[in-house]
Amino acid sequence: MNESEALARQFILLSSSSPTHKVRTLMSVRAQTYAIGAAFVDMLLEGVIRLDEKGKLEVIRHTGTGDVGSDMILQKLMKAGKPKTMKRWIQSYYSLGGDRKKTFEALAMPLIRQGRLQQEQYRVLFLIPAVRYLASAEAKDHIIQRMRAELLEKGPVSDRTAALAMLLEVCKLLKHYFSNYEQRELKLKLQQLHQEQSKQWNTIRQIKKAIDEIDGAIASSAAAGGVV
Amino acid sequence: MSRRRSIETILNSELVTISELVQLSGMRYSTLKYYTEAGLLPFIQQDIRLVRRYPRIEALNRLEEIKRLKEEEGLTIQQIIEKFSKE
Repeated sequence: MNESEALARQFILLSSSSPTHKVRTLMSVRAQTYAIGAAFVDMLLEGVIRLDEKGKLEVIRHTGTGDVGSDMILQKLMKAGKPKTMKRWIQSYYSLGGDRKKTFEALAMPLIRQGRLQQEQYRVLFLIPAVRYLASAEAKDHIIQRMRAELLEKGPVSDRTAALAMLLEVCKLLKHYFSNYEQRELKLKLQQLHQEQSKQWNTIRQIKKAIDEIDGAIASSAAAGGVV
Repeated sequence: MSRRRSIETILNSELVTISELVQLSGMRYSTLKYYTEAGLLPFIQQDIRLVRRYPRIEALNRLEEIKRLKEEEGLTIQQIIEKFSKE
């Protein structure tokens, strides 16, 4: 596996069910939205886009990323009439099911081609046809081992690993892969990094905040019985 | 399952298992496993299904070097992997 693999794909693997279905994962709408959020983070880390002073996303590199899924997002950003905040973009992906699904499929496609992710057809309540994704245990293990080696040992942490840990924390997926003790250690390390590596972390913090806001928006709309 | 060896025996062995390397280095099992799969730790394996054996001195020296690169030079694991792959 490429060690600097896109954050979105690492997230897709970890948020997918295991073939035994023992690990319960996110509902597909949330998982897809978070995976797209991870692709935004990837582009921020690669310097393809940036957040301006008002927190709006701005395209810096118009040449594309070389990744079909990320390029679909980039095209959408470039075509937009005026810049929007991360929250707005994620909300638009959350509410536009067609766009969300297509982008998610494009992000997941390389994993399916490599055989690390499988698509499984099933029926909700034995009636409605649906698709779920299953990730191989080996693919998941490799990512978790790297997270342990970076976050639970002394030394610096790469931005991607830190961002992945934050995403998993927000989605409450850490508990599936780390013990309570490890989760506490991991959160402490993240807090420590927030204080030590401030500049790059500003971006990650903004993204985390945006994802937190979306999470709140989703939860409140679900409680009100409305649609975001 | 093979019998657990005493620390004296481990310290006199040329080759050690991953669990013994955990004992000797004080690092996590998962960290050593990750380093192995990332190509950072040398090992000998008779067959793909058989246990991996690590040359004790060489593996411990490599772990010391990784630790130094992380803690003193501030390199991330990705940068360490790239550094060793160039050598």
